[in-house]
Amino acid sequence: MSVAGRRKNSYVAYVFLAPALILLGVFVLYPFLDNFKLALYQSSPSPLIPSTYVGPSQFWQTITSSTFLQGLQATLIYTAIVVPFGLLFGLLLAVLANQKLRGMVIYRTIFSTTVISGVAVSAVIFDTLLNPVVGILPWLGININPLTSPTWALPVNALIGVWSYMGLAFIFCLAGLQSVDTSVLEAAECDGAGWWSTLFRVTIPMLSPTLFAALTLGTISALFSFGTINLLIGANAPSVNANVLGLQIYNNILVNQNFGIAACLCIALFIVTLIITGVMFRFLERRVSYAR
Amino acid sequence: MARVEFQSVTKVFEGKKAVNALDLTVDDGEFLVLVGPSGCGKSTALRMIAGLETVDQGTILIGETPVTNLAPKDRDIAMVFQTYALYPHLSVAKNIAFPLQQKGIGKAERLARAKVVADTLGLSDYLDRKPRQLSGGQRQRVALARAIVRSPQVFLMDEPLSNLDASLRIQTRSDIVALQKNLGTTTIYVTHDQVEAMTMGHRIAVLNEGVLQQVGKPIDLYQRPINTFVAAFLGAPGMNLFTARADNGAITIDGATTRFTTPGLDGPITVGARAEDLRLASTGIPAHVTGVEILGADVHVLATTPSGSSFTLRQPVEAPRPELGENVTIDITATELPLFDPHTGILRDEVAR
Ligand SMILES: Nc1ncnc2c1ncn2[C@@H]1O[C@H](COP(=O)(O)OP(=O)(O)OP(=O)(O)O)[C@@H](O)[C@H]1O
Ligand SMILES: [Mg+2]
Repeated sequence: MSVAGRRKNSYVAYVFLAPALILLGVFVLYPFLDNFKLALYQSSPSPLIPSTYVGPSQFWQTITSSTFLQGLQATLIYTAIVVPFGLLFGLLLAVLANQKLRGMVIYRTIFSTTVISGVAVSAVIFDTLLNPVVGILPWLGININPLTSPTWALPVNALIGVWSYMGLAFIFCLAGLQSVDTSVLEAAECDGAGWWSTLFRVTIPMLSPTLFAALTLGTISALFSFGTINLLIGANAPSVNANVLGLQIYNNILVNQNFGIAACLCIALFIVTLIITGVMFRFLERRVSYAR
Repeated sequence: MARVEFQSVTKVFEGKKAVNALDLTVDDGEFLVLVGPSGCGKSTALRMIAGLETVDQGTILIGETPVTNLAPKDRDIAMVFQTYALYPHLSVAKNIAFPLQQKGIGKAERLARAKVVADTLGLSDYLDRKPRQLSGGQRQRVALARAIVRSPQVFLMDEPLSNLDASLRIQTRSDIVALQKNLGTTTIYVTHDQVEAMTMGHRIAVLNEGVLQQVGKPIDLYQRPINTFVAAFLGAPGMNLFTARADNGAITIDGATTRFTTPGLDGPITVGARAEDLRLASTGIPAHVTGVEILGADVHVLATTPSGSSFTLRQPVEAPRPELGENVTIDITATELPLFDPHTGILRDEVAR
């Protein structure tokens, strides 16, 4: 094909791409860029008065404030609990559910339900479970309400996060396991590998692309999540050390209507996410062995 | 090294017997080929030796040890899979060394031993490659190396050559035979390839629908198949089977008298004749030519008699060839023909001469 012909063809390609590009532009790219502009303006207390330009100083003030730093700490703790444990449990359940046992379909369904139960549903479930009167804690002899405890509020919410991320990790890992050539696992058995040895030396390395994808997605969503904290703790979050950045952004937009601060927090969280996923790609992705 | 023994072993899948009361002994150091049509239970039998499939009834012995309830890792067997089943994330060297690692052998020693085996199989240049960077034949050799490296009691091979192209298959076939001869390890080799079956093993065991049909030296099975199944299955092409009649000892096929007689025989009978024992003649058994395949040095003429027995005749390429659709007559040149019971298909003691 001639160069001119090829160029003509690429115009056609752009015509076909146009709807998708426009949607991306309107709903992803424009808000993303506009957010940087928002961050430069101080929102006024009333929507009737226009916001005023304050420049980058608002951003520096926001990210050096103790609220932000405490929020960042809470977010990192939350993520550091949710992602590793969720992935580990999801993987273990998937390995168990991948065995040929009677009624396995039922277990697989049960394990994956945590994915489809939304944030509100899991919040209600755990609110009941953790209730200081009718919940399971008094019954276990524990007489504190973890949701009002500065020590336990965040870890308990992270446990709920583990519970719901586990289901997603389970589905990922099970799908990955099912695409693993079973004769490779059988070869490992014949080569003298026991259950654990097969798991660590064969199954997990072969699953590494899946695990890495689940890890990255899980990390990003954990860094941004605030749903159960908002529903179970709400306005008390700062006083119980659970004021994660996602929640701060949410409150600044919907409660305080302070869009400028929210935009600054968004940029900060974006940078944090970029750094963490960047580090993961830099140090973990090279250990991932893609089969093809 | 050890012998392997099946003692009336049965395996049931969903109510169907995949392997039915199998009794078979593979001698120490023997190369036994297990053949049969697709779905006859060859892989199942092999996988039961490996412990990858449970045994429903009966006992399997490796050496003197009943292994029926042992895990694969405790059986000291090595298996070569049709799909090679290499570890995709490990280099060739580490793939080969993997069984040694499982035995707790130190890194330096196991890599050294892997290298020695890799050398004998011509893999020294690929030690650091990943399986995906190898050709099919190279992967096959890595799989063989991984089996050899730890000197197991038994090699189990499930159609290891079926993913290779024709010329490589011939090459690897003789490599495996030579390797087995050198090592003297008891080997059970599953295939449905006629040529592999005839050429590779000390003995062949023919399986059909989970039932063992016959075990013996390849040439014995070829010349004296115990029933019509083995007769038609072994050899390329298989033995031709004609529906025939004996009248007072004289054998007629499709109304044509033959020069073969079996004293004292009367009634319907099935007569076997190899493709190389047939030739076109001016008189003889009538037949209709349904196909002519020129293979090179040989030509296969496929034909059917009026009563419906299809058969294959082999002749040299120089001989005059019939046309497709032509009516011909054929003569049987063998000195002796096996006879089979027309109902049970079992070989009769008497032969036609
Ligand atoms: N895991 C299984 N579940 C149910 N049925 C099975 C299973 N494995 C094998 N079978 C059945 O058992 C029979 C024997 O299968 P097997 O794999 O041993 O055949 P094979 O002789 O190796 O055939 P092929 O030459 O095609 O590999 C077949 O009818 C097959 O459908
Ligand atoms: Mg098979």
